[in-house]
Amino acid sequence: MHIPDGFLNTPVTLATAGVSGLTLVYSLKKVNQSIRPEQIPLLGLLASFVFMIQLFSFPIGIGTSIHLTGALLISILVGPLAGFLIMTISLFALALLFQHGGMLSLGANILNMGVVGCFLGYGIYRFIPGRRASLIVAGLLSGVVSASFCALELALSGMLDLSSAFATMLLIYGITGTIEGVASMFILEFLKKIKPELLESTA
Amino acid sequence: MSQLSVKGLSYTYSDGVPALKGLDFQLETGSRTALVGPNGAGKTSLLLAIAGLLQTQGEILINHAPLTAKNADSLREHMSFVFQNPDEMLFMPTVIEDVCFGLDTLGLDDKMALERGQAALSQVSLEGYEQRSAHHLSYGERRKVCIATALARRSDITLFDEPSRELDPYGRRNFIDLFHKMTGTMILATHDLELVLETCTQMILLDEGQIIKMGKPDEILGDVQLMESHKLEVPHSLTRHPHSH
Amino acid sequence: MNHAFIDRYSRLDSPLHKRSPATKILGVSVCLIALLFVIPLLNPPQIWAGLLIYSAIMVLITLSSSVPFSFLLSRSALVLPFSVLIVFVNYVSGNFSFAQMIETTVKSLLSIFTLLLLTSTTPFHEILKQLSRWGTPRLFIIILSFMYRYFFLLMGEIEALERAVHMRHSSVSGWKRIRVYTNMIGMLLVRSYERAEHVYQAMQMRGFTGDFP
Repeated sequence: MHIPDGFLNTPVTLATAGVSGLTLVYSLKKVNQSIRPEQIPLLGLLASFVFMIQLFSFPIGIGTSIHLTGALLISILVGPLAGFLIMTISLFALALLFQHGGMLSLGANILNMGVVGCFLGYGIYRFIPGRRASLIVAGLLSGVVSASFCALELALSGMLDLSSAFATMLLIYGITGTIEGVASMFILEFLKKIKPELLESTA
Repeated sequence: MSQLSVKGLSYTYSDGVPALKGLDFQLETGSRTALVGPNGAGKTSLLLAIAGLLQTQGEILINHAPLTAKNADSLREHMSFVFQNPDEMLFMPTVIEDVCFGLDTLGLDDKMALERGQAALSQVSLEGYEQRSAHHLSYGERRKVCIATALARRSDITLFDEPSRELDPYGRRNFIDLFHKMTGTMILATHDLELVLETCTQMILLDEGQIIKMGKPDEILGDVQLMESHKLEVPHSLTRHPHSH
Repeated sequence: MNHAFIDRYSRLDSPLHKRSPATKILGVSVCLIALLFVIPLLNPPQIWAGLLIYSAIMVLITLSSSVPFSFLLSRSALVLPFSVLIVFVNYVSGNFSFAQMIETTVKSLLSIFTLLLLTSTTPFHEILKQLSRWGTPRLFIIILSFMYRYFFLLMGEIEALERAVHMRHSSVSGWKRIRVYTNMIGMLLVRSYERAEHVYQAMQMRGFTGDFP
């Protein structure tokens, strides 16, 4: 969920922007140190890819469609730091060009999707053995944590009665998170068949 | 004087399939050479190898200097490459930035680079397109911008990969006219055999990574048996009266 | 999806289009901070006055921009599903008064409207250039500009793939459908990698060794 402007109060806006901003500064510094020239266009094209999959909803039956955040997938492919950079850039562009999520609430959205998806999701993926299980658990847990952050930010801004909506949000995000994990798994399996050399550095 | 000399050039794809198998040839300064062959013959690989973009075995001499991983960057200052897909060549926000990209590495300052870029755009008759974005241009216009990027570099050697592909007849004619006005050594890989007859003074017939024959275009392209044995056919302009007496 | 709509009106010629990107970015930032941080600090009757004045200013700016109101309003309305959901949940659970419900919805609409005034009067690469002049790290700007450049191509590719899928797979649903879509996404990812490789070769041919102008 991309939180639009107008729903978070000043302290929450500033606090989330601070956390996301510091993470961004750190990632930029680290990526700048380790980047090889051929990765520069690659990160741009992957940012385009993430930007596109966040706009691209696909139907999952029963009249619902969902979209992926791409955070888990991209972190597995290029590492969590570059992955976070890509997530931040696409969330910024989504807010600016598609009004998908607000500009002042960008910090909160980066925190919920980028920080949680790239660092927590990737951490769980690396921590749990077995590719399939780890991807599903990473998807599920980062979905749930992401939803909790989102609910907490809204609640602290006086926008949400935690008791009434929290359970519903957790349920929805648990499901979409799991789908994210499963979809990432399918995509990685597809890559393994078509272009295995892309996964060499991650295997 | 030979500008480009290739000895025992081989290249193998990362999956182990050989793409080029021991090529030898020399190209004179100012020559115009077509690389012709069926799909998968190794045409694009050969262009990329000459540009120093592949890790190859064997020797490539450009202006008598051996091409190595170390000096590839400096030897590329004498070369331009017009790729097949304009979207992969034009990545800057505006047309002029694309045309001027990298001119600073040739030792030009901003003002000189801009002048060169504008001159190149007017050579391809795209004056006034400086501030446009590549993704708003038609396909034919994007191809012209790609040629302008090469023109602006004023290289000794220009490489073209499928320069007439997907162009309409007008765009193709336009390319041929431009090509005749360009100077320097030209190498073009193409399936467009009529284009070869109109633009090139010699050709190399490639198949399965090997040179089958090198010589005058009308002689090679007119050889029915040779053409058919390499999945090609004699261009129409050479078969004007195939069954008359 | 209409590819042009991102910066559909950004190349018009109007007094607002002629303003420097710096002025417009700063102006929009000040407006958003006033709307989202300052107006909520006021007392309820003043809040309404504030929102009214803010709306009036937006109308005046729009008039000087020659961007159609219908476009700005219909794009702003895209936020409504989310706003209405949150606002409605709060209203039903007794957390919000009717006035708060309206206030929050109006604020979220106005903030999008404000941002749209920037993006529909300033080409994206002009915004990037200005951000770069203000010291935004180069890597950030480069990735953004590549992203913007190749997004259109990717969108065209996904549409073509979607059409191909529809022609052959119109009736599958559930897990199978996810499989089909993930294969599509995987295909786009492979193409992105290959395209990145070719773009890098094209950059190398023009002397790129890692430093970006």
